[in-house]
Amino acid sequence: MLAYVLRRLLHTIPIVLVGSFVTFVMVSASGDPLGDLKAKQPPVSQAILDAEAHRMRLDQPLLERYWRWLTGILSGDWGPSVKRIDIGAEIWPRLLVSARLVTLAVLLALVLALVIGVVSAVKRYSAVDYAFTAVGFLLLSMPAFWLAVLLKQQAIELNQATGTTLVYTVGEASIPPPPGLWPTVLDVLGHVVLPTIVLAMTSFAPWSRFVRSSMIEVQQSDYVRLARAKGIKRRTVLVRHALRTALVPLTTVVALDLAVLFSGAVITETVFQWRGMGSFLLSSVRDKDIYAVMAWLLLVSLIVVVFNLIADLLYAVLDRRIRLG
Amino acid sequence: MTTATTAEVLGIRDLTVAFPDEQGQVSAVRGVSWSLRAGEVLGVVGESGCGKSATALAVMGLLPPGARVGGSVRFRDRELVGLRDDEMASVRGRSVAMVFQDPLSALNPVYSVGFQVAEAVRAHHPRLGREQAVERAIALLELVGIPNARDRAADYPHEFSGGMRQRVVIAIAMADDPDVIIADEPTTALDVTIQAQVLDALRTAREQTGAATMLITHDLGVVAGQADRVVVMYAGKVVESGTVEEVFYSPRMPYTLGLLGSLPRLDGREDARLTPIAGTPPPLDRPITGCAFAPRCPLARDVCRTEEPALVPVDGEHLAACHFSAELVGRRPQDVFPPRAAPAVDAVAANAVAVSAVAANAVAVGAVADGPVSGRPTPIITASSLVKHYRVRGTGLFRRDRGELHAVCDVSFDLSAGETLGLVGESGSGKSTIAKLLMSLEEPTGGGVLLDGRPLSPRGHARDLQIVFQDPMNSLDPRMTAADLVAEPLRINGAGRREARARALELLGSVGLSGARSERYPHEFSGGQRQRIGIARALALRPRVLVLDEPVSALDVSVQADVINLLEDLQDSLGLAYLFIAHDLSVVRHIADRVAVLYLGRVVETGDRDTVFDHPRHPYTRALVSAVPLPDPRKERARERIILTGDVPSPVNPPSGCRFRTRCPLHLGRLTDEQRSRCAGETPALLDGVACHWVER
Amino acid sequence: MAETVQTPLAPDVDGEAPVATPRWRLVVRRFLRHRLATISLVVFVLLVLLAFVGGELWHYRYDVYTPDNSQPPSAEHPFGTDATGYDLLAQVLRGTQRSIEIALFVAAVSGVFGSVWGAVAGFHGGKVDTLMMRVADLVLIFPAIAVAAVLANNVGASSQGWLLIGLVLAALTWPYVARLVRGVVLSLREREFIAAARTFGAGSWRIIFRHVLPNAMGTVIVAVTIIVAVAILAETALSFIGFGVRPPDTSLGLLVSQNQTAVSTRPWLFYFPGLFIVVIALSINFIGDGLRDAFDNTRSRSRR
Repeated sequence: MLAYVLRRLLHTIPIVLVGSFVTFVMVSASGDPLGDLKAKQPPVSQAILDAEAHRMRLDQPLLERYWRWLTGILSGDWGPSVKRIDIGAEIWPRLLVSARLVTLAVLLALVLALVIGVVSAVKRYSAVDYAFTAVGFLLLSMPAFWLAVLLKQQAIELNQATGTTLVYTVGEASIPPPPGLWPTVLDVLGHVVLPTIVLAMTSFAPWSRFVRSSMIEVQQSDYVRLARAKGIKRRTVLVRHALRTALVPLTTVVALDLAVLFSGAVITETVFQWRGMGSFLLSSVRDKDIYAVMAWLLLVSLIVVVFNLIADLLYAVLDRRIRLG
Repeated sequence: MTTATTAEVLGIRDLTVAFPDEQGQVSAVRGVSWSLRAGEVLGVVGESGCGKSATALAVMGLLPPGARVGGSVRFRDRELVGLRDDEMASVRGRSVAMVFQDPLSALNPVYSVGFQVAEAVRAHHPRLGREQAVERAIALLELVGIPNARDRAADYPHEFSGGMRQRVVIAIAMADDPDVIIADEPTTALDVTIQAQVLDALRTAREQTGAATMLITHDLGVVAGQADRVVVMYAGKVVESGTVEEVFYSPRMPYTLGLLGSLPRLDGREDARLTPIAGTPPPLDRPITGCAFAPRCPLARDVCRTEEPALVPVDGEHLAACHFSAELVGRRPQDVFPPRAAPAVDAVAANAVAVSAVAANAVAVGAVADGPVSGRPTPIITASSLVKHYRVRGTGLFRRDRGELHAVCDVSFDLSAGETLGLVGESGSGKSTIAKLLMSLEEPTGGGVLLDGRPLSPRGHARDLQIVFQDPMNSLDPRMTAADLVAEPLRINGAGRREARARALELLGSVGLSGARSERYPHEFSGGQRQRIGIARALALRPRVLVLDEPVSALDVSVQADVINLLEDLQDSLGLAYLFIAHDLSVVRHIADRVAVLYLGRVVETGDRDTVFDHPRHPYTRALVSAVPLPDPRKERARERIILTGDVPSPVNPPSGCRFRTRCPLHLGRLTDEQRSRCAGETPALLDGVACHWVER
Repeated sequence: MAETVQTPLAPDVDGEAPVATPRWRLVVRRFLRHRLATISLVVFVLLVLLAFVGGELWHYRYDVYTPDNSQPPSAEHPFGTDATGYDLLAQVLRGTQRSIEIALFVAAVSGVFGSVWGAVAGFHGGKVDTLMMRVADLVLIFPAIAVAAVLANNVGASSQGWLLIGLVLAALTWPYVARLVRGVVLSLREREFIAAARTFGAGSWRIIFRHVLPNAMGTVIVAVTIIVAVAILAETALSFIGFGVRPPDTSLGLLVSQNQTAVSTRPWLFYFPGLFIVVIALSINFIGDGLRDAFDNTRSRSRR
């Protein structure tokens, strides 16, 4: 087991290195960080431009810039920002904000996927199954931003109708936060409800299809038939033998979709005007703030890689047939 | 055998099962009645699709959702058809338990074996403590012959061999002391020496629980040895039933007679030609009028096609469903089923010389057939000291090679025109690897193959050597028509489109598939017909040698006989040399001239067919031959059986010296320690056809 | 079912055989049995016609002002107009055209590239396979929207911007196709008919083109269909956050973005483009489902 973990980590390092280098080249080529400065009217002096280029390390060759960036990361230096912000200090709180959204959305989506997937598998070809299938396809075809705007509008109307603020439609928390721990928690929850629903709704459909089809497959398996032949009640067989086995591959499916969820989070946060990873990315891309974009991509892709690794390990623990090879 | 009383424990009356399908419905079981008496073993035989498994699942209430069940199944006084699933759950396991066909997939991979047995123990005794259940589970595992049951209970199914897993399944069936055990093809997926072990475990289960057993199988030999009474099913109906002796020695339904006649037998009926039953079972998705067997029955008359015969007593409790069952008294299979001449084989032979050779340097087949007959002819193929090792990667940090899988080790043989060499062995013996080496699908690690005394060139062999695979569904591209499939080798080797097509049609005709059927796709043919396409394709380049890799093991018995006869006819008229690879000793005995027995990649015994099968000398061959069930109740029950212990060891790091010593009755029995150390230290050479240090020469 | 039912066959050896059914006709028949997929196919074809032909025939242009500002839907302007006087129907048709163009382009590029990549990896196996699939996996660990934003930031404004956006999206979606095709090819490679072809001397290319690709075609077609739907949603999302199609050109995502603040005052501006996205994506997803059923021999019963 330990050897497996170590080997997987060893395999991951070159991927991260190659990936980060390719991204570094790509992001560096995506635009001139000094573009806005150069276009300023009246024009800024060449000396200032040179100084700024030096600060942004543009006077060095690409490979050296990459090396400095990489070694800088290891010592906690995220590199210079066009906007002269401290990238590290800016990105961590934002990551927490987005992680809150993604985590809750994954949990909600998992619950939805399991309930709907299991029910449609058990009641295959029934009206319930067809209804769930239809809803799933509808959500699969629904742009997240459109659903977000729609729900936001409904919430605003609901708030106006009731004269209170049941759910918040702007921001990730009130500023300043209400006094006291409990009100703060409630405030955060009130803000997180709508974005979580949007993200979960637009993500769970493929998972519930997956649960449905693997449940159907497992239910027709010999070992489920044998379990029933033992005289165990159908419900017990369903949970203990069918669901448990069907769930194992779901872990990897969810982990692989994590990158997709972050994409969805960027969109959702934009609609609800959160100060999370979404707006950080979009403004950094617009400002051609190379090192800020790199920080974003590195953090998010590392999270995806780590969770994929965890999923693989979990798979190996849950299903002993995987020979950790 | 068990002492049977007449008290019925399980009664089936007019049972019907129908499955919905794309067009309408398939009537898998069309009114089946029989009763299972306390303590008896009832054999249920029939070919695939005859409804025997559907009947079993209907009894258990385990049919897939959507299946419609009619009629009645009574367990003692309780009607089972129509019970709710939770009511049925109280019957399953406690009253009626079941053993399934495929032990590899019957156990849940994510739970330990002990847990799965204990689960069965607790199913009807929820108040039993977890530890007590585990204790009982271990006791059950010991009973069915799992070594070190206490330690192994914590292991997961994938850590057990197929035979061991089937024992676990039997332990599960025994767990709640059922009154009836339904065993659905319990040994079909297993090797013959393992089959003997599992049948033993099943007998233990029967003795321990006193349960009546419904033994479903297509293997008439197993029924002959195990069952008290037999039910023969065909197309969803019972066509004959009676005691084993009645049914085997005086069948009163042509189908049963045909089935017995189409079976190659290990006890050798001196080259008697098999009597296959023409055609295939009728499709069950439309109504059947008259006798379902009528289209294939040589005795069929008008009344058979209009009026369905009832299952009526012909002699005491011996029942048969045939209008003319009286005519069958005292008749042999070959009297009723006329041997069918292979359709146009002679034409092919004639054409072999006449038709312009597609491959420029193809040796005219006719000339070879007329080759030297006296003495030992010059071999076409000579394999010398073939060795094939596969690397096995470890699971450590750097995945160093963990060792080598010794698939084939120092195997030599030769093969001459018109001759059949049978290569027999159980799984892991390396027989399929030898086929791949011969066809250049794998590179040998050592040794080599000579064709006419010259080394095989990877591409040049195509015209002289061809292969027929085990599963025609798998070896025919599903997107090509029969004609295209047979034409492909010709096209690859330079024939024009028209020429290839003409030859393909001719070849298809020669294997009995003529006319419009050549434009059909593989899935539109039956299993036997698909294998005929495979044979026609293999013949396309006029090879001199055919490698037949388990060519009939995927087929039903009656169809299998047809393909075997075709192969014999082709050999007679074309002078082909066959390397016949099979695990089924009866088939090899029927078709082969010489035999080589493989164990873990080595030849342990070789020689003339009759010598090897009638007077086996190597301990492994002896055990193997004795383990094959004979479809003859009296002979089968009188036989002395050598049951091997344990499983075949892993071919990765196989035992030193003699590879068979870990299971060898001789080695484990009467040898002295000194003699044993020779077995472990020295690999026995293949001398005089036997590779054993202690055989009397 | 526990036992396979024999293929219906006339037992008479020399009797008349039924006419052979080529596989594609079987596939078409199975597809047509999937009612929603059939309806979706009709809807999608109509939408394409509406967007590409109807847009040209409609008497307003997407980039020419009309004298009417902020009109609700009427006979003159079926989808209404926006604050600056653009006719929304003309804009939606133009946007649909753009979105479908981009999506089909993405599907074509990533379908071809992904299939070849996956087929080569799967057919060769071993180290080649490992290396090629590592590259594919590398693409998948980055959130597509972020990479697309970075890549499209420069190109979106140019005149051929939509093609470049298509390329960016194709670069991000091909691994999905590659993974699917590789899986199929890996299992096909083990089939005995491939070994059989080798034994009568067929070369690798013949095997790939005659046996592997035709048998993997179903998977490729289904994968490409799904990519069309994915690309529609990705393009509209990218345009929504401002990195996709830019004015004066328009796309459905851009329209939703421009009109999201109008949702309470002039809801038609928000709903029509959004509904078009949903209908397009939904119809393609259903077509994909129908195709999957049609190509999948193992599913015997599926009626919707």
